[in-house]
Amino acid sequence: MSETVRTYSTQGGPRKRRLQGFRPRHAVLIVLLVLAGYAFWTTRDVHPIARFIPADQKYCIEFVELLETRTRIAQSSVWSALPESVLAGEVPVLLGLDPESAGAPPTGMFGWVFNNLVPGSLYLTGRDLETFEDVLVLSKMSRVGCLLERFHGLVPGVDADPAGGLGLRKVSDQGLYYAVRGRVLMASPSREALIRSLVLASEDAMSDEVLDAALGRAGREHVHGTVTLAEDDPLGHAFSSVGFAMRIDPSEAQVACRARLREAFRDQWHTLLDGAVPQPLTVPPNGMLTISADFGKPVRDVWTGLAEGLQRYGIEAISSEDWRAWEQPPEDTEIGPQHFFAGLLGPVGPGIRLSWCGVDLNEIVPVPEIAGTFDADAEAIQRFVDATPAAPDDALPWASFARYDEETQRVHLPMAGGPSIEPTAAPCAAGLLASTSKTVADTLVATVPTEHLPGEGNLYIHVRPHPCVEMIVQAGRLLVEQSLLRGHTPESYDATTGEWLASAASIEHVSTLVAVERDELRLDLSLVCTRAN
Amino acid sequence: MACERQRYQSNHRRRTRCVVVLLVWTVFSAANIANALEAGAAKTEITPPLGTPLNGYGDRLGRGAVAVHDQVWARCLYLDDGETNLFLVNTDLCFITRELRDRVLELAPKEVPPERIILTATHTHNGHGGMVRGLLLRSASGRFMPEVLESTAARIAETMRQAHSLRKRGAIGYGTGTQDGLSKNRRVDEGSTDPQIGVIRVEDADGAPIAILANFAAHPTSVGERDRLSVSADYPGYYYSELEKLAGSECVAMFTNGAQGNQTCGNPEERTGWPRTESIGRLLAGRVFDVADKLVCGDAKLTVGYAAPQLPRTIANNWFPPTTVLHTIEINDLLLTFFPGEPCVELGLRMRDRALERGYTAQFTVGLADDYLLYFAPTEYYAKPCYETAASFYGPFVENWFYREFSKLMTKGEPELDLPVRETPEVNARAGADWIRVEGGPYERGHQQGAAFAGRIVRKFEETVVAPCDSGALIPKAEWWTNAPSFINIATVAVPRLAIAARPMLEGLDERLLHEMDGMAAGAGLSFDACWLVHCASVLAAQTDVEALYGSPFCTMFAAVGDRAGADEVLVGRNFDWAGSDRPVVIDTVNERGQRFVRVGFGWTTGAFTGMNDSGLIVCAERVEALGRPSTEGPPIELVLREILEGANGLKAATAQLQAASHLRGYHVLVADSTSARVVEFGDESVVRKSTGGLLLGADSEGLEADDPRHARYTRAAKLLEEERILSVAEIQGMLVDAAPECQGQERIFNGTTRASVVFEPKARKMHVAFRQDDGSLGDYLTIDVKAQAKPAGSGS
Repeated sequence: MSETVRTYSTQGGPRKRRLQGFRPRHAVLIVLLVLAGYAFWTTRDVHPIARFIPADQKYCIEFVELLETRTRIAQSSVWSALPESVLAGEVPVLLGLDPESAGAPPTGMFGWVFNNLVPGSLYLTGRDLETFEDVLVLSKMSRVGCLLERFHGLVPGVDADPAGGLGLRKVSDQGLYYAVRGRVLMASPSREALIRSLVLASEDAMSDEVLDAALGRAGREHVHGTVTLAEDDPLGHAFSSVGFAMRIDPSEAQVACRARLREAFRDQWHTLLDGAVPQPLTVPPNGMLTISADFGKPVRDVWTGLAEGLQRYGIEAISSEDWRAWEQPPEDTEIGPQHFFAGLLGPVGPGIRLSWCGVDLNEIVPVPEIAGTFDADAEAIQRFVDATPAAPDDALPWASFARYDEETQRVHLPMAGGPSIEPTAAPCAAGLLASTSKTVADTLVATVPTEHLPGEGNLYIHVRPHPCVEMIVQAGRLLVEQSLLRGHTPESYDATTGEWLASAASIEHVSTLVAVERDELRLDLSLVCTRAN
Repeated sequence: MACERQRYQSNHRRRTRCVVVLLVWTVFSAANIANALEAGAAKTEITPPLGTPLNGYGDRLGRGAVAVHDQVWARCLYLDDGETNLFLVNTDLCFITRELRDRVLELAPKEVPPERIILTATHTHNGHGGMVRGLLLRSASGRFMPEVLESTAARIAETMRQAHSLRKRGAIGYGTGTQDGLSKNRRVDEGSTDPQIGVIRVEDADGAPIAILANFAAHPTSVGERDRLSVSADYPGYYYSELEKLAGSECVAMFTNGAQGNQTCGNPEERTGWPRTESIGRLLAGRVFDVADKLVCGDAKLTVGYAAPQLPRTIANNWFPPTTVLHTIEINDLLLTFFPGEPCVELGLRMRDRALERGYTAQFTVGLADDYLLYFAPTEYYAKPCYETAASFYGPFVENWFYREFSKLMTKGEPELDLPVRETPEVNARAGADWIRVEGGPYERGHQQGAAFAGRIVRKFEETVVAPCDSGALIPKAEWWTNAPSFINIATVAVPRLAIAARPMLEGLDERLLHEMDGMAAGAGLSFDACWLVHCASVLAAQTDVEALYGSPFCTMFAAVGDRAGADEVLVGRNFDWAGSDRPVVIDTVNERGQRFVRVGFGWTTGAFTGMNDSGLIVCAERVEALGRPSTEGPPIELVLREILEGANGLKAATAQLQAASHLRGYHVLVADSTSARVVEFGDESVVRKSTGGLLLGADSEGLEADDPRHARYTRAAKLLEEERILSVAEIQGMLVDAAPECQGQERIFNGTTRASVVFEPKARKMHVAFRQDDGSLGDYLTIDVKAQAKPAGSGS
């Protein structure tokens, strides 16, 4: 063993030897590893979306997997079918799709960047339900998106906004602010709203569970969400909150709503809504616009309930006093159609089916043809027949007195014009059939449907817009041909109604089912287009 | 050989002669064939299914038929003289709709060209309707039933085919009988009726009748109320049965109604219900058979006249198309004229007189032919409110239009000339007014004025008639009108209704003035009724609670008489006030009699608010609201003054004519000539006021309420007049621009609404006229020499 004193140092020696074998690529590798580690670390998904959503927001909407669904949504024929007034035509543009390219997604570098910035669901939330100026948009970016965002300084028009250390960015030409926390991207036209979201105390934010429950209240579809309404908000007088889910397919849209009724509103409509529980509804007679309703009460009470409810909003279109006067007219009153129908229909129900079957353009004046079937037992029908006053002995055969024809078991009321203005009622399989038109009554009486609609509810409405518009247009044309339609020449009329017809032609039908369940109103709406793009 | 040649030549000559004879015979026989009459007749039932609405009564409310009392028929006569063939169809319908005619012509046999197919309706009010597509006529005709239209048209066409296929050598004769009591005037007791029953008999070569046609004027409206919904041909149905019984079942009885607009069927046997209907039909058939039985038939030359002329303009232009169909048939010297609607009997009688004057030996008027344009009332009825005039929409001179148009289709005599029209006169804009000179007959003069001011007349119509109707100001306050939905263009219905309501105001107007208005309407491109509504819109508006369309007094006026006028003897000063924006117009008129008069007014009226004629007669009017609303019982004041200006000669006659206009209310009229002046005040009674101390004011300021602006105005005028011992034109001109600072608004003689100042020198036949300028001041006076044959107004100063 050597006695030589050995000196050990932390420098030189082995290190030197190691350095002698070091290659530059190793350094690059190390840097890359460090950077990767940094990137991985700083782009961890550490913040739930809910953490940035104030618990007191009035609305919160989720667009599920927007990048996957937006092309499909934008290309749906639903938007072109809706009136321009509801900005439906703008939807593809709002979704960032170029209408010129028929809604094709962005491509190239821009598309790649965009896809990484908003790869998943998109959330919209805010408090202002009138101007939406404080809308906050949230989304989770991909890691790549997060890293790309760090190079915002290279993008012209994006400026840093320190905001007291919050590190906002401002997209000047869009008037938009955004910030990134973890993988969460938040953007808003309102700087205050964005700051509020960033500094939100955890107890003031939504929890994941609460957010999830709120968004899925009416189901989970392409778009779903919830809206909380103050009394002075639009519809706020009626509902305290509304949850909805909307599915947009190439040629149809389904919307489900669950709305919480306000106590005061329910009181206003209590005559109509009390006792109303979802019921199986019978299919109405075929028509362009059909309604099936069951509010658990006879027609008289439905009318009264509607009249009282509408009266509170200053709408005097129908009145409960009128109905009473019609149902029990003074003895010297000449019986008109209103007396006929009120006397006939007052006690029947609760199932009510109404159909607008068309317009008889050839009548002495064009008249709509309306038919209805009503739940009624034989006793109720007999009561009405017995109550039909006999026409005076000297009455001419065509005088306007309600008459009962024993052979056909029909009650009819001759009026001006032909059979399309001859109210007629007859027993039928669904109870009682009544129509403004004898022709319609004769046609329908043996074929009224008795089966039930799928699902339960209190009110079902089904509209086929094109036949409705076409009928109205044809009736209007008769008027315009003789200069009886204000403000139109035949040419201007054709130009105007041509647009209506084209728009209506794109919708096959719209149907909605409404149910009242205690303090909640359930509405399921379906819009089906005639063509898919 | 020679013998053979001779024989050959002889045979050849003989053959040649035979050929020539044969050719000549062929030509002549062909000519004979061309002149030989062929005729055929057929009938087909057209009874509609029960439930089809019946036509003719609005109070049926379009309800469908519940029973068939007797069938209704289409009957057709085919005639062919070898050169001209025709179908004459009579149907038991109320009228021939355009839809029916168009479809029948599509389905008709092609052997006869469409312009020689004449469709007529008997006008039974129990025949089926349902063949009108337009909404407005559906109220009487019931709902539109395309299937009924189609089956009716098909059966009519089938009747034609049968008549054509049954044609045979025939002969034709015509004659007339008379009736007394089978018809009566339904509007005027003992009023005009047509005593003639026209008869045409068509027989075959054996003398057996093929068809007998009667032409008789009376509404088939004898069916009682309880049978209102029963299908029936009315009395023509009984006539057919009876005549075919008398003449033999092979004979097709035909019936065309005449000028029946105001004719109803009589009741000579004083029956009720169906027996009455039967009685008329039976009696008519008996008389027709008597005439037909005596007729000598032979060949005939047939001529069919056809035209599709442009109709006169109508106020109901949204209801009726612009053209119609007119037909005439001439059978030798018999003329049949076919009216596309319901002519009143006067039109039929006058048409006959005109035809006879032109050399025809007989004339039948047939109504309800080929089209339905409602009623045609004679000129003298147009102002009288009754059903027939209320359903007449082509102006008071529609009868003249028919005479003219039919005259163009007749082969005898010269066609009547179209109404004379002169070139549109030049409008000279001078001194703040437009000046024109119009000359010629009334229509020509009116046409010149209408054409010269067409734009402003049409605008006036839109502003004072259509717009107030559209806004509801000028429509009746009854429920039907006010409850109409807001999308309904109520003016389309309200304007014609207003026109009907305004027609009684025409009562008493000289027919020449009506012609002038007719010309003015034509010149402006409007209907007569529209033009008339422009004239009386202000009076109509005054009847409503809305603001009067002219809230203007159109005054001041005064006269200096005798010594106060110096050598002039009478001088009249007048400020013409008008609140509207209408540009003033000076119309210098020389009528067809050489009379001249000058009016200061507006282009849209033939009336005179201020004027003078070549005899020195002056008229001016002032509205005095305290004396009452203008009455609608006669023409507006400006038209009364206009008649006086053109017709009266001297102050006395003018005053008398004014006093005779008992309908006037709410006006003062100053009338003067070279000898004196008067003011006629039209309140509950008319009062004539003369000058006092050589002065005469439009209103006596002492009789006016102190808060009436006229009180201050006329007090001021009186003061100014009293200041001068003898007044001159210049002094009066100075007074007319007086705007005393202590007076405001209408209290001033020259106020914010004064549009023109006029000083009249009746003795010198001169008018000095000045107009308000754009800066509000009065312009320079221009002098108009109103002597006969003087140079036109506006051409000098």
